This record gives sequence, C-alpha cells and structure tokens, in this order.
Amino acid sequence: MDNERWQLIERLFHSALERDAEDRSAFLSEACAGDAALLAEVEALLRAYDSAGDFIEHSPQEAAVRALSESSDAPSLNQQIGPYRIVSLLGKGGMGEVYLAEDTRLGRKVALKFLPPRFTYNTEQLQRFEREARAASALNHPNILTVYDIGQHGNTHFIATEYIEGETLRQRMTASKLELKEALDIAIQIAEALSAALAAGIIHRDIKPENIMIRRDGYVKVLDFGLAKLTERPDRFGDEQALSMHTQSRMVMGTINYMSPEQALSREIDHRTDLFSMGIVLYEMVTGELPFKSNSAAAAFDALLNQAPAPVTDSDSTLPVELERIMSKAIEKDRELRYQTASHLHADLERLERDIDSRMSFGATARSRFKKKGWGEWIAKASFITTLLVILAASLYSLLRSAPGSEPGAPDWRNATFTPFTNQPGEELFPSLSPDGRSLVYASRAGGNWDIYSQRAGGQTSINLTKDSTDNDTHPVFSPDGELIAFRSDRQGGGIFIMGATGENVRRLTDFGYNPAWSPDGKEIICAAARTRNPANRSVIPSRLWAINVATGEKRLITEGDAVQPAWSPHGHRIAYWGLQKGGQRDLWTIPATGGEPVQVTDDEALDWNPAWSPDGKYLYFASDRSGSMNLWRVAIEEESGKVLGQPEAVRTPSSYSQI
Amino acid sequence: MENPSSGHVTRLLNDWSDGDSTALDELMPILYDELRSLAAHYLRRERADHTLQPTALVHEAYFRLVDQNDVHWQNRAHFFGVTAQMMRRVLIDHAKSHRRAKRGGGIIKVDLDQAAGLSAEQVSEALALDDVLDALARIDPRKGKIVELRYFGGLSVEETAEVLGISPTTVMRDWALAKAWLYNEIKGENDNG
Repeated sequence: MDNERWQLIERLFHSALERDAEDRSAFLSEACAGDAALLAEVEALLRAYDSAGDFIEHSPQEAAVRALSESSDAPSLNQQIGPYRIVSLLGKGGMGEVYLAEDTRLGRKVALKFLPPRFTYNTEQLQRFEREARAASALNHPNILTVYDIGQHGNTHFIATEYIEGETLRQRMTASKLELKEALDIAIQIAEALSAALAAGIIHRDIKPENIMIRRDGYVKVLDFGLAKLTERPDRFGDEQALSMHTQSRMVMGTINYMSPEQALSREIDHRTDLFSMGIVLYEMVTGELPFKSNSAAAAFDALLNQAPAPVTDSDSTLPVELERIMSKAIEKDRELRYQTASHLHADLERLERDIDSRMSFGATARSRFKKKGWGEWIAKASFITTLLVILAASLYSLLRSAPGSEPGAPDWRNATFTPFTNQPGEELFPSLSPDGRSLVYASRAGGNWDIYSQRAGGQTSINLTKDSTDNDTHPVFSPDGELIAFRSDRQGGGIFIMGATGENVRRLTDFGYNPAWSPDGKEIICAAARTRNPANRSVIPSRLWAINVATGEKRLITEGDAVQPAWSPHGHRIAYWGLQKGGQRDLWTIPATGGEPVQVTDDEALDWNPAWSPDGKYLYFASDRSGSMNLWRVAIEEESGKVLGQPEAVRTPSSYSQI
Repeated sequence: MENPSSGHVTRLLNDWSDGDSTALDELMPILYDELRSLAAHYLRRERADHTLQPTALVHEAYFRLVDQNDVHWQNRAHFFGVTAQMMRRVLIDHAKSHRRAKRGGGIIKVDLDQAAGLSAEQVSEALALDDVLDALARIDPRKGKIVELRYFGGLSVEETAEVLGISPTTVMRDWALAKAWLYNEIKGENDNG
C-alpha cells in the first residue's frame, strides 16, 4: 500500500469515528467519491474497530515475566530430569553449568550441561543449537567428547555427554609446567580430534585450554564442538568496527587470546581457524605464555593482527627448531599460508615427537619418562613396532646368512642403528620387505584412503600401487618369490586380493579375511577371518584361520579356536598366531600347517601379539606388554613341533619403546 | 547500586542508534539476563505481598542497565523498544512451545499453560498478533512500534508517548487504527481459513 493512500484511509477512518454511527455511511460515500475499494477498506476497518472489543488491550506482560522467571530454573541435587538424576555440580562456565548426573536407565554417569537461557530463548537460536548438537553427536572419535542426548528442563536446554574424570588443560597448565613430550602428546591428540571434525565438516570455533580435558589415563578429549556458534554474531564488520566491538565488549576480553585473526575480524571462518587456535594452545603449553599477550583487549587485538610472536625458542633455547617451524605455520595470520588441514599439522607433530624420541634414546641418558599409557596411544605406535619387526627380521636374515650354522646368542640390539624407510606425512603401517630386501611395500593414508605403496629400500620416492581404488587397501605382503603382493582390500565387499609387485593384474582371492601370510612355497595364503585393530578390546566372536590355494581358490579351515594375525614358519611346518582365551588372556600359539592340535607358546596375563618367525625358524618374535609397556620380545621354539624351548626374552633395541 | 556494565549498555544503545545493527545482538543477552533475574526476584516478592507490576520491572531494568547520566534521550526510547522486542520474543517462543507441548512434542512435558499464567485465549491472541504486526510495521512503522511497546512491552499510553516523543493523543489515535487494522487482518484470515 502506498503511503498517500494509507494516510487517506487514516484521515477518513478518524473523521468517520468522530461522527455518529448513523452519519458515517453518508459521509464516507461522499468522501470516497466513487472509489469503491477505498470505501470498502475504511468500512471494514470501522467494523473491525466496533467489534474488536478488548482485543490486545490487556498486555500479557505478566505472563512474559513468569515465562522469564521460569527459565531460571536451576536443577537441584537428586532431582530427576527425564532419565537423569542430578548428582553434583561439576562447574560453571561461560556456556552454562555442568552437572554430574546418572542416567538411571543405563546406570551410567553422564555430564549434563545446562545452557544459559539467553543463548536459547529464541527459536531460531535454539534450532541452531539443536542442529549443532546433532552434528556434534555424529562425531565418533576417542579424542572428542561424546554427545549422548539433548533435552529440555522447563525452559532450560541441556546436553548430555560422556563424563570424563580428569582435569582441563587449563588446570593441568596451572598445576605445573608441561614437559615438551607431554605437550606434544596433547597437541597430537587435539589434532586427531580436529582431523575427525574436518572430515565431518564441523568447525569447533573455540579451541582453548578450558575446552580440552585430560583424562586420568592420558587420553585427551576436546569438548563442546560447535557450541561456540551459539554466541557468535551473525554479521560481519569492517576492521574498525570489529576493534571497537572487542575493546568495548566485556565478554570478549577472556577469549580473544585464542581467536584467529579472521575470527577476531568477524570474517567468514573455516576449519583453519581451529588450527590457529590450536597453535596458540601449543605455544602456551610449551612456553607458559600467550603469543599475543597484552594488558588490554585493544593491544591484544593489534598484536594478533599485526605483530609476529616471539619465537618459542626464545623462552627456552633447548626447544627444537622444528617446533618453532610448526608453531609459526600454525599461527600464521594468513590462513592461506597456514596449515591447511589438521592431518598435516598432526603428521608434523608426530614426526617431531618421533625424532625427539630417537634422539633421546641414542643419548647417554636413557631417561625413563614413559608411564604406562592408555591403549590408544601405543596403538598409534603399532606402526612403529611393526616397522621394527621388519627391520629386525631383515637384520636377522642377513645376520644368519652371513654366519651360516652359527648360533646367534641373545643379540644386543643396543648397538643397532635405525634408518627411517619412509618419511611421508601420516602413518605408514604393515611394512613388508621383498625377499631380496630391495623394496618395501606398506599401507599409508597419504592419498585420503588407505593405499598400498611401494618404495625401494633407501629410496625416497614411493609409488601408490592402488591409487585407482577408492576403497581401503592394507596388509600388503610379498610372495616368497617377490613377484606378487597379497593384500586386504575393502573393494567389492572386501577380501584378500593378489596383484603383481608393481600393482598390475589385480585379482580377488577370497571374499573375506585379513592379515594374509604366504606359505614358503608360495602355493597357499593363510588369513584370519577378523581384523585386529585394538588387541586389548577385540571382539569376543572367535576368528578362525583359513588357508587358501592361490591357484584354485580352494580353502581349508586351520583353527577352531580364536586366531588372528597368522605367520607361516619359514620351512612351512607351522603357523603362529595369537588369540583370545576364555578368561580374556591374549596368548600366542602355533598350529601345524596341515591343521591339528595347537601348541601354546605363551600362557600368562601379558598381552602378546604380532608374531613373526626368525628366518631360520628358531625364534618367534612378538610384541608384548609383559614388561609394563609394549615392547619386542622373542622366544626360542622348535619349528617342526612348536615346542617352546625357553622363557620369552626381551629384545633390547635403541628405542624408547623398549625400556624394560 | 548501579550496575557496573551500565556504561557498556549505554554504548551499545548509542551504537545501535548510530545504525550498528550488531550492537543489538550483543545487547539482547545482557538485557535478557537482567530481566530474567529481576523477574525471578519479583515473583518471589509477589508471593509475599501478592502484587506483580511488570511495568515496574522494565523500569527497574532500565535504571540498572543504562547510565543515568547519559544525555541521549533517544537511548530511553531505544531501551524500551528493545525490551518490548525481547518480551515479544519470550512470549511468542513460550506460546509456541506451549503449542508444541500440547501436541506432545516436548521431551519433558510441563503444563506451560498453567506455569506461565497464559490462558488459551492469550496464547492465540499473542501468536496471531505476532503474525500480522510486522505487516503493519511495514505500512506504518510508528503504529507498529506503539503496539509493540504497549502490548508486548506493557507500557501505558503516557509512557509510550514519552518514549516515542509524541503526544498521548497521537498514541491513542494511532492505537485505534492499528487495533482495527490488526483485528481486521486476523479476522479476515479466519474468515478465509
């Protein structure tokens, strides 16, 4: 409606109202002068006015006040809210109060976070919160706090999450200065969480020490994914405005310290903002200081946007130069020059940690600084152990070759040296050396999914043999003549596949199976029905071993009891494996290659896995936690009968993982 | 005692009147917290002496949040304007969740009707008004503001006049047409529906 017409309606409406009811009709007919639409409109308004009664005359303000006050309901102890019973208050923060509660249906402890009503009182914001919480609940990763549920108590909304017994990184840092090793360990786990979040398309937006929990067993958990979106302002501003906003706002003071420049400027952000914040956290962990520290928000804002932070090596000259490089790449102001993904940052941190480890153990002081850690940590190191096995097997092989018939005593590996075979970002697993020792195949995720790579021993260039497959390919093993590679692939429903040594002529052997191992004559491949990811909590469903004829595909069942990770003995007599016993023990066994009665190799509480035969068949090497931490062990064995010829002995290597 | 953040709120009001729409996003949560704690306080007092004066609550919030030495008279208008908007959101969301709960969508069922003292008629009236008020504000912003201030903000005719810097007579005239127009819109919709 145009303004002029509206004013005309208004004038006529009021003029008509001033007249008596009976005069109105005549007045309007004349005033409207044949404009029937105008007449109808004003008459409709007058009728509405007469019949409106006390429409909107009573403000529902009282109800609004009640609605407001209701939203301040705080839960009380022992109160039952839905399935949750409130146990105690765990803490208060900017994003609400957190209570320890018990899920009475499942009898498990949960943390309930009640969000301040000011973030959820309007529907739009509430929907945004629900969307975020739902997205976060899809993040299933050991380093991300698990979201179980979202709910409502009166007008207060809450999130139910996994309950963590531990401390925040802030509390940890306040308690004492972190050692470099511990800081790296925490940073690596944060990077893993961010990597998983990136894969799911979720940005955290508020990475800071208060949002990082360290569980008592050393596991790091990142909290509150996506929640920061609730407090974010939707609009974007110019730099001037952003500055005035930050310097005037009382709420921003505490949090600007971990903001990325693009976040501080309220520009559009992406996952790289989290990498910047994480860089700040790492900087603070190793130096005890913030890189852009200042007394006022305005000065901190200026430092963040315009100044280079002091190198970490300034605060402590013993810190590695590589750490400074990683740090400056993480807190690079230009996000195009920053780390582009969490996995790149993760790989650099891992490599730095590894280099520090090996340097340390070569030094005169082999300090024991490794506590018994959670499983997850050394699972990540399984690659290292597997690599070790290969190197050892290769060394043993050449040792035995050079001294035929001689009996090697317990070798002292402390004088051995390590040569890294691979040097790419990310982890490399399941190495297999070719029989002539000249090339190595292994699995790596460098290309996005697991692929099999080949590399010449001593060479730097690796070739992706399975780059055409978008499914995961792992567990590569060279055939005894070095012509073929057997491997596990998830393609076409999954199974064991065979290809030529340079990736040609891929063919399917089975539609099931993991960890293939060749018979010494190359005619059969043995594999396990189940995968081994984490040996500590493997499924109790028994896995069996099957031998498959490479030429015909015919298969025969080898074991009845639980068995995984098979290894064929060098002269073909027996197959070594490990399996779960009824009481939960994880022990090593051997079984005749023709099937029959298994012979137990170890029978104790220790976790034994990853068996590998020495090339002469006189020792079985394996990984075990029998000394408290996961290490390499061996036991003398009679290959033909499987008879154990002594106690397991530790293989001492110049590795920090082998301190016994 | 004056609230320590009063200077901050005043600055936000200034920014907002200078056209910085983002100042409102920052102001709302502060205002919400204040109104919420005042509301709880008022209701406790109500149980003691059986009186509840919602308008007094808004005035008290103003007194606590806005720097009383501030010379910009517009800030007063803006403050009450924002408060009315806030009350509108609270009420409408409350009414909507009441409807949702009635349909059984709530996780934990609460009789919101009784809890907030909203009658079924009030719920429908508020929701219907919310739907058409923005249309009125587009045709005639001042009338839209008057309805928001009086209905959702709970201000009297005199207070509304003072906040908007117009005479009480003008408020009454605007109110009459606004009421007729809104009623016609809602009734017309019902007839069609």
